Amino acid sequence: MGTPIDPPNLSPLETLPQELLSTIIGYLEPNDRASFLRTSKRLYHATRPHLWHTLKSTDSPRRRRAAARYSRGLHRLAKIAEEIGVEAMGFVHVKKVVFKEGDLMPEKGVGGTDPGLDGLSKILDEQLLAGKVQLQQVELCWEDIERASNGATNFLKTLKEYQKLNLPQRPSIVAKMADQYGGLRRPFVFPIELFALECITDLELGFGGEQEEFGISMARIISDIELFTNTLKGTHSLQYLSIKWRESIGDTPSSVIKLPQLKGLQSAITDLKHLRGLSLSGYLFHPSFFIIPPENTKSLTIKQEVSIAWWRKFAQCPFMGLEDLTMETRHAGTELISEWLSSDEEEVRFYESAHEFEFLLGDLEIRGLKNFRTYSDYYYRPDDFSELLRRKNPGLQEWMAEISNYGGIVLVNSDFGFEIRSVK
Amino acid sequence: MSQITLLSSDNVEMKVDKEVAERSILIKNMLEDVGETPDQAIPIPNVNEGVLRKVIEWCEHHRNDPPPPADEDSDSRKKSTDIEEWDQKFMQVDQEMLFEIILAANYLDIKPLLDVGCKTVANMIKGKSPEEIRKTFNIQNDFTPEEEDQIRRENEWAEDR
Repeated sequence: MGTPIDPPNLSPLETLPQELLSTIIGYLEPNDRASFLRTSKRLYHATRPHLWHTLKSTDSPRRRRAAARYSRGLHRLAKIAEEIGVEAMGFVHVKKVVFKEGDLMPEKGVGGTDPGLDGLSKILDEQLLAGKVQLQQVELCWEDIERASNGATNFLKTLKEYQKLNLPQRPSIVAKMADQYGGLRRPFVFPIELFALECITDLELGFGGEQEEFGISMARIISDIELFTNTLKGTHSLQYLSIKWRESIGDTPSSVIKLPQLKGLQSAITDLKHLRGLSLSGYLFHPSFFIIPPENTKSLTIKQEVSIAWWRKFAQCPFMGLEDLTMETRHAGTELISEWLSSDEEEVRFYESAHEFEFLLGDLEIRGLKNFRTYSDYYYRPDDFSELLRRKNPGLQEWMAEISNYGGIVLVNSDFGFEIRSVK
Repeated sequence: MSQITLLSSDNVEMKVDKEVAERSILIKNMLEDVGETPDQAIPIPNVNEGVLRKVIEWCEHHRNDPPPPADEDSDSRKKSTDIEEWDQKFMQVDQEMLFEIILAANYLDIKPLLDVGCKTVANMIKGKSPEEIRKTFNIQNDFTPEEEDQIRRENEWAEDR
């Protein structure tokens, strides 16, 4: 092995190559890392750069005491760092900062400020702009930003400045949407001006709120499409994109599909040259709006309500470079004949004859697919879809994933070998 | 089902299903480069018989594992040190074997096995004081008293209070 000759009294653990020690250390929380690095010189040097590799909004000086919500733990850490020095604390090695959902917001009743984030921001801001910390990634929930605390807002401002510096490697930003907001959920608009867009590598773009009670205005639809387009025009480094719009589209005006703005959105998506993964969910503006992924997108997930016209476009798309496809499509417009549907003769025919209508694609352009996943057998697809997919993609592996009662995902090989495994 | 033969570092031949052996990306790539199923045994120079048997046992059990779902948050997977029951039992071996398995999984490029091994070690470290960790892994404290004092002060924050 390429390491220098080991002194004879090293334990087997200490003789592992650094990359493997790093993997092990990666599974430890900062507290355990701190104990680990105190055991020997070899392990001190192996662990030290990793001690604060990832700084999380939930980090705390205490071991797993009741989850330090609202960054109380960070506050204490920041104070300690002030006392013993940032260098001694190991904060100069921070490579990644993770703000968990809800943690950019101030503690209840503190009003605008958050002692933890303020302290952290003071320390990190200084180090960042002095070039002492080389940040590689920042992960946050952008829906928090509207109500972010002063500390968090300062940090974001610094981050944008930092990204303008002439750095050998600019940090990537992972901007997610909230999974749960309980009763607080309301429409949030992606704060395009707060980010250096070209640094975003992973983005969940969407409309975070519930829909308005009486349908959606055309003006609102257009402004959403334009916001998405303008954002994606700036995100040149994007590798993973998830677009979620509304869970239900209500009475979409049929003319939405004719909007020139949709073409603009498509071309912004086509221009994402580094995109590897694309996920589309909910109603995306119109059930007949088919988004063509950029060439060389490896993985595509579609959880949409779609129309017959959408399927026809799907059938004609070659999906260059696509390897993994996950689908959970439903047929749009199951209740009343919606407004968008009324102008589409085929949709009406399909709808009126309900279950008896056999809808065939006839042919499929998709080639080179390696994995096909679906979440249940009840997703809607044209009657010849599965057969065509298999024929055009020899060697295709098919998987069915069900959400298990235990929260994990069970993947069932679709040739029903009953090989059920839990994937955690 | 086509089979191939592997040759351990101590010259023991072992027959395995090709599909099982291909859990190792190293072997998989090797077989793809060769094209056809080779007649001769494939030498695995870094892994002895006992360890190779153990690794094959793991690959047998996990031969039908699906690829990781496309849209799963890879980061949250990484943080969890949960290990499924069968793997936990599989990893109940002496420390020498544990580290041999980790090194073999690394060499053979079997990432899920490597992860299970590293998680097992991480779980042996978790929640322990430095002295307890030294005992567990037979680590010798080679700090001078002054060094030890300084490192203790720098990391005092992590102690349970």
